[in-house]
Amino acid sequence: MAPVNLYRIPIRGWNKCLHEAAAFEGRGEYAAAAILDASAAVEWWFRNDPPVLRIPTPVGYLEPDFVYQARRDGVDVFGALEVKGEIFWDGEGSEPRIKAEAAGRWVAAVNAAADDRSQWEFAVVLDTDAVSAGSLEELRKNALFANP
Amino acid sequence: MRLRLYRLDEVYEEVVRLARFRAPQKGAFDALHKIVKDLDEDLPRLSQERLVEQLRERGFHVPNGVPYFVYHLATGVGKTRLMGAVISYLYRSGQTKNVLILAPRTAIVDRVERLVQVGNPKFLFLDPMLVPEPNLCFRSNLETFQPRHDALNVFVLSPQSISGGDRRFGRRSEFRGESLEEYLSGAEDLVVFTDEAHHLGADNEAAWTSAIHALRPKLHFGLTATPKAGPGVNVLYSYDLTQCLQEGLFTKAVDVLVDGRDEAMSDEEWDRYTIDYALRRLERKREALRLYADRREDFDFVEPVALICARDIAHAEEVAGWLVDRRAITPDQLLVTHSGRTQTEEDIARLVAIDQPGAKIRLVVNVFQLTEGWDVTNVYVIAPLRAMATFQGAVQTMGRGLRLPAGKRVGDPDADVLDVLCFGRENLEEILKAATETFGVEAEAGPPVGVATKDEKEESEPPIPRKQIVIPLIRPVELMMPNVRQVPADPPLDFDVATAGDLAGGAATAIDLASLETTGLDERVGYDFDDVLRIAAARIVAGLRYLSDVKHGSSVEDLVRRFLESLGASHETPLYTDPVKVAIHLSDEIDRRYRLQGGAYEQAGVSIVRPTDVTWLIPEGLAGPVDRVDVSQWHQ
Repeated sequence: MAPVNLYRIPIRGWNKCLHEAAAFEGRGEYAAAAILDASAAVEWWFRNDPPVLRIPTPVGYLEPDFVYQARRDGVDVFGALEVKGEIFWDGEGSEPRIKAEAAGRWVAAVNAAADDRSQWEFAVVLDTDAVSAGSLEELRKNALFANP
Repeated sequence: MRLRLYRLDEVYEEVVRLARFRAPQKGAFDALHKIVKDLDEDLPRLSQERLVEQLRERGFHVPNGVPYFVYHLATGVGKTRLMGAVISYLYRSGQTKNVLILAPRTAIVDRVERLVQVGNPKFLFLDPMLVPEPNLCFRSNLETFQPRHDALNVFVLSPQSISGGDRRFGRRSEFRGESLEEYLSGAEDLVVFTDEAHHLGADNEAAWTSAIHALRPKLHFGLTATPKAGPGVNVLYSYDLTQCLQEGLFTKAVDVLVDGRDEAMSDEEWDRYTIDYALRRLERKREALRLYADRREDFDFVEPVALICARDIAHAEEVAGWLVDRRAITPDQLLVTHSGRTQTEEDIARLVAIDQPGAKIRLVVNVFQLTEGWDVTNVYVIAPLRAMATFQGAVQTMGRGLRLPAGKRVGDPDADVLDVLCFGRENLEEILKAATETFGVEAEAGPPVGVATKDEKEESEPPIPRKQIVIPLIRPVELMMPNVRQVPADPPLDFDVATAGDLAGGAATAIDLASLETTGLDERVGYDFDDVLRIAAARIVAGLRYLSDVKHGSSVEDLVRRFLESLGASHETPLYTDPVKVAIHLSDEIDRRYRLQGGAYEQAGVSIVRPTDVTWLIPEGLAGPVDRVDVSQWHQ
């Protein structure tokens, strides 16, 4: 089959997606969706586009690409996942980093306020890592930025 | 000596902070800073012989007495900004007060003339704090211009005008008592910058080099995207188009779209076929940019423009006439520009404002004039016609379309890509070969430009989505989550101005900041210490949204007081430092620290995040969502 350009074309056939279909802007996002969908721990996920979860940061909102719920060790974990192409991850003090670091503090504040049975996590991952990762755990382990 | 290095580092830090360099600009700027630091004196105190000797010791090649350094930066990386930063650095650090900027084309001279004026949003010298009130000499005031000893004298001219093209250059002015030529060649600290410096290498333009040498500048810098090697050419820094396209950081990606010439068609028919295709690409870009802008708060729609490169003036006029007559292009959507057309002020204004919101121009037909120095961000299609319709023609013209509207790539395949048409006698194979020869093959990084037939391109890109569908939510969830609100972290107001390296620092900046106010002002305004304190503190509080008078007023005053005292100010003597500039300076310092530490969050109730059905646009050819394929099938 010839390669097809699926940029922003809704794709169906998921097991855990909250929507009937989800659309992506790159192979990394598509791969991340496949990882979430295949992960035993994940209960559900959705593409946050148009965004329903917006994390305020000093330099504008961070709108994570994915929101998911997973169950780990009896705790409901809500996750926000951002997939970035390498050229969009810039140096210290750049906008993507300021946003990621702020989202990390946001997660910490949410967790401080939440009860013990539900926690949040946030990660920014590289698109090429999403393509090569075998699991959500591996993807988060290699994240550009993650909290916790 | 140590004080000199300290002062150079201080100015270096200051310029770097204000310039917000991209990595290649920073590399290029660092190379200069190193050269200046390696000298044992500032330029005005070094004889040319000693300067040349010291540079030769460092391995530079200076065969003819004028050290010549070339910055080789690809179009779109920001040569002009680098030049402005270098000049600001040289001036602020006491290396020069006389700078001659040469640009070989009227369009570039015009642009530089605008950029050097305080108040221009893209002020060449970064910030009036670095170069307050530059004393400007343009073509229009050559004869009445008066050099000053207490400001940066900036001369913006063309190489033609200093090599005999403008007799006013060598003519004695009754205002000055000497000609501009005499003034410049007599200056001990002249530094010359030549934009588009590759022209200097050409034989027929040897007169330009001679004219520059006749002025005996201390240093000569050339900026170009296409450097020419030669005796005495020291390439100080190089970031070429291949590297630039490969890294994909600063420019659009480029797709070269190929179609072979149908020999049965006449030249005119082939032009029209080519232009029609350019119009089709333009229409796609337009729709795609509109959609992208609609869904992004941080991207304003900008009208995409196609640049059509004609062979000569008659050809350009013919093409323009055809567009109006046969393709219903209206005069306000079309701009024809070539040396044969007298450009009205209005034309020039339209040309440079082509990427501003509300601009209507969609097509620019040009001959040579726009090949350099015209740096708008919304050229998305380039169609070189006739003999230019070769891969080399494509490479030569693509520079005009590389800049990005948002200043960076945004991740959208239409908004990030420039289409360059290559509809001529070269076939795909020849073009691929030429592309490999031009850019080399970097298997890992991928080819710097895409090359495809026009049909391949259209088949591989998704159609513009125009059909609205609803993607239903099949599993409703509600996320109850603690609602955390961003609260301003306490702004950093207690930093120590005396040790903050890039602020008051020590004597060096203190003197600078004070002398900055005394330059050229006969009527120096002295302020009372408490007045400066009060005015500056009030402005700082008013200017930074996270500061409040009640909460931070006294800390800000303390900061200003410490700053003023570190400048040596006291209640006993009047201050010649402008409180507004103090405020700008300190606000910048506070803001930089604030941004780095980021905001804090506090809980404010509970909010519910609730995904809903999604309305989505899909191409008309699709009935609805498509089935999943393996990730390896994803292609774009």
